[in-house]
Amino acid sequence: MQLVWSCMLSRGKVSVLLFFLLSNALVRAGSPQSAGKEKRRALRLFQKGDYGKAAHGFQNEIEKGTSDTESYYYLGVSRLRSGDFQGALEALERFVKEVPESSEGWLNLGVVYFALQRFDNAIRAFHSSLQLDAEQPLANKMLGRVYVATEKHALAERAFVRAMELDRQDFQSPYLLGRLYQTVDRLVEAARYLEESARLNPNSVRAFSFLGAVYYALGRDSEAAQTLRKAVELNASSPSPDFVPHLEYGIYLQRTGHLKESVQQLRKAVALNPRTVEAYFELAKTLYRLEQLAEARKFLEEAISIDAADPRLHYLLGRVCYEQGDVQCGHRHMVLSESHRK
Amino acid sequence: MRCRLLITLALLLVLPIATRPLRARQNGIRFRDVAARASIGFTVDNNETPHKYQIEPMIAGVALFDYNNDGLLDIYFCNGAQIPQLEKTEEKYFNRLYRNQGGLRFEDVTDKAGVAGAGYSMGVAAADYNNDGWVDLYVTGVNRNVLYRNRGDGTFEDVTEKAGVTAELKDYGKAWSVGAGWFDYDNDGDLDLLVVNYCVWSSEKDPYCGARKPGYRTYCHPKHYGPLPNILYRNEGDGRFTDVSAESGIGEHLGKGMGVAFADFDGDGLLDAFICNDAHRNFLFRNDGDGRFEEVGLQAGVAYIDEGTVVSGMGADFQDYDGDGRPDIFMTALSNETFPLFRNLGNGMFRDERYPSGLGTQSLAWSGWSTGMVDFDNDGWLDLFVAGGHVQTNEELYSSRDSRQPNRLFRNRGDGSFEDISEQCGADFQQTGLHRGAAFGDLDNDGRVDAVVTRLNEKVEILHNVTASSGHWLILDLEGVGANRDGLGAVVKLTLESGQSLFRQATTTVGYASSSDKRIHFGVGKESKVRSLEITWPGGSSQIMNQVPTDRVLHIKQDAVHSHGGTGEWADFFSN
Repeated sequence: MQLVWSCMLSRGKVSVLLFFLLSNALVRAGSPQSAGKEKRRALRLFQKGDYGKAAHGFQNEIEKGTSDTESYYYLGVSRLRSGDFQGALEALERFVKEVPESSEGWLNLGVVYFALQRFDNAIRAFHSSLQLDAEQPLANKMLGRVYVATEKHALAERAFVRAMELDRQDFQSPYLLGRLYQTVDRLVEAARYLEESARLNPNSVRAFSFLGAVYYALGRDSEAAQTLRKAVELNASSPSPDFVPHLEYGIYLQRTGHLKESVQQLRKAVALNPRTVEAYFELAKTLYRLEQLAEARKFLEEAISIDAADPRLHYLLGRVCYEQGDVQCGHRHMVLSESHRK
Repeated sequence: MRCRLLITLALLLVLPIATRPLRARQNGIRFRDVAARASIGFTVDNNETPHKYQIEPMIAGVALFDYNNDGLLDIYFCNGAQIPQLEKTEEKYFNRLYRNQGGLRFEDVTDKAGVAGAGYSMGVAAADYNNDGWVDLYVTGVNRNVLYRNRGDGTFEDVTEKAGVTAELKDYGKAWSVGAGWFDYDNDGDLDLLVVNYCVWSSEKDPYCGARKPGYRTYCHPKHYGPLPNILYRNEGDGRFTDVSAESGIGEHLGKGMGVAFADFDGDGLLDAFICNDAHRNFLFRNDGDGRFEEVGLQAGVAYIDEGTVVSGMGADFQDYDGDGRPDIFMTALSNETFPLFRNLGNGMFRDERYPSGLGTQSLAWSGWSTGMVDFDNDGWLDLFVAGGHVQTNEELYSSRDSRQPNRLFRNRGDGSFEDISEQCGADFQQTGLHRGAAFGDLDNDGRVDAVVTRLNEKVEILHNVTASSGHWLILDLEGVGANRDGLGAVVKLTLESGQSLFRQATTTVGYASSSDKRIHFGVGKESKVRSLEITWPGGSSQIMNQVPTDRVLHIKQDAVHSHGGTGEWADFFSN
């Protein structure tokens, strides 16, 4: 059940979790009143969350030559939030060059580096930010995330612990620490911190989802089932439902032999996030076990259309093909599976 | 011959047969560690060092075999050596042979037999390779492999060089061999040898792994070492072997081999080989019958688990757990990987049954090394024994899993699922340790299969099966005539009065680096008589026996004359 975590981290993709972290606000908001007309308009768009248009406004301001250095900052953050990482990089590098004493500037630049998988740069940026302001839980959390991505688990642990010390009421730090422990099989600690996260935020579907997975790995079966069900229930009442609780519960049900129920959960996971390979993979695996080979094949092909380089998908699809009697397809995907492992 | 058979059969029918109370499908399997009582105080010594050399956690195999033909299983243990010299500089590193004196008492006959070994030993494979009626030993190791020919007078002769089985590889020098197995791949009547090699290693080039603080150094992941090819030696029948790794195709595949097991998985009368690799995809070598093997692990579905990932393959066994007549594969791995169970579908393919069988969830926390598919309660269904222990000695510093672990026993429920009953197997079964080798056989011929298990730097365990409520049983001691004398590779179909059939394939190659009793054991539950026994010998000849009484060891000699449908010669060897 650790696939989601490792997939998110090891590939350094900008995940839901990244935005979940950033939602705490990275922005040292400027005052719209103190800025020029164009910039004021852009700042209003920014505050409304219309980052694409805001970025356009800040860009115009800069091109007209009427902007101050702060516009680079907002341009960078707007681009970051609208997914234009390269553009964000240019703006934020310019900003920290002009204002090297801005801890927020370094922090946001670090996030951009992280999104671009430039992990060494990200580490340097977060350290620069922390040198300017050592009391930032968010910079520590982000630093920890980079260390997780680079498999420096001891350093990640230290950063998450520091973040937790800085804000005892923040549910994210124990969550991240719990997830880290889950990844390195320190399951008892993982359970403890995920429980703490869930206590601090009783609506955290992810904390409950992964806590359920940890309980399963610890052999605490009834607690696992109960916790995973709770995650699914919480998710049902959430305004923006998450695929993770359905994925984790679906995996649990698959492993404990409740295949039909597993399919139901995994279908929901796929519907909620049609871009997640893991949900397709687990759904296909369950369907394969139910001998619903045609549908398993369909979902594996869907997953491969998202990530054609994942050897696990080709291996399972190869198996499905062989069992369908399609030897050519089986061979083809086994060859692909092996080639992507090299 | 037919007349002799009838007389024997008649005698068998009137012989008093000791039977235990018959209770089918009990889960009361229990073991008692009788090592002290048996005068076996042997301790495996791997010369553990702070350097955490990669070879240290990998020993030690064990063999159960009858070296002196007295009808009692003797025990051979492998052992380590001084590192980095890799020599058995002191007696504490000697391999050991214990002679079974009966009554579960043993005598150390290592010196007399001349089998103390050489170098850093790993595993052992026992079989009568020269068909002289005396079981020989092949001992694998890091720097020396040794073939001991049993002279038949209680002593052995090192014939490694003469036989040409030194495990030297052209591009690597002496390969670090872990496992080995005897099988007659070409059905020419003598046993060939498959040597399983692990990885490229030298003490000078062992990297540092783990955190750089006292006590945190770990054994390195196999990814730090290069893979090796395995070696197939063809027995020329004159005491010499020829390395046919290249021409057979076996040598084309590089892996990190650990356990090996043989079975005819596709029913073509030819023995195939399964090799589980450590953090590398498993190999299934299908015997094409023309001297070549094709590696079909991917097509067959045993290369990876369903997740499409490798596990740290350790030990393996290849028997029919679900009674459909097709051999299935069980293998062990490390904590959090689960123990794979591949069910043979009969069309050249297998299915990963870890989770449907319940093994996935039940094995998640455990690390396993040697293993065996054995019917411990004589209910007709093969249970799974796993020698438990993590590869690391300090795993607790890094994860929630333990380094020292107890062995595990998963009882076959007979419906395709297994139940972990380890905690009900008696106090002695709860002993923790870094268990490694394990071999299986009936040490006291009481019909209940025992287990002998090694653990690093602690006394070995002689786990005497004391299950009170086990069913009836039958042990077959095969003697090939046209086939290899041990009858390895023979398939036995036992049909009960109820019509239920049980299938076993004769082999000594079981588990990790270990070698089990060559005799075939059947538990038959409540049935005091077997409707029929059908033996298909290597090469295809078969013989059938009807109305065979249970609770005894039967010596069955291949009927060379009446090879097809004949009855063969058989004798009540040890009635109980």
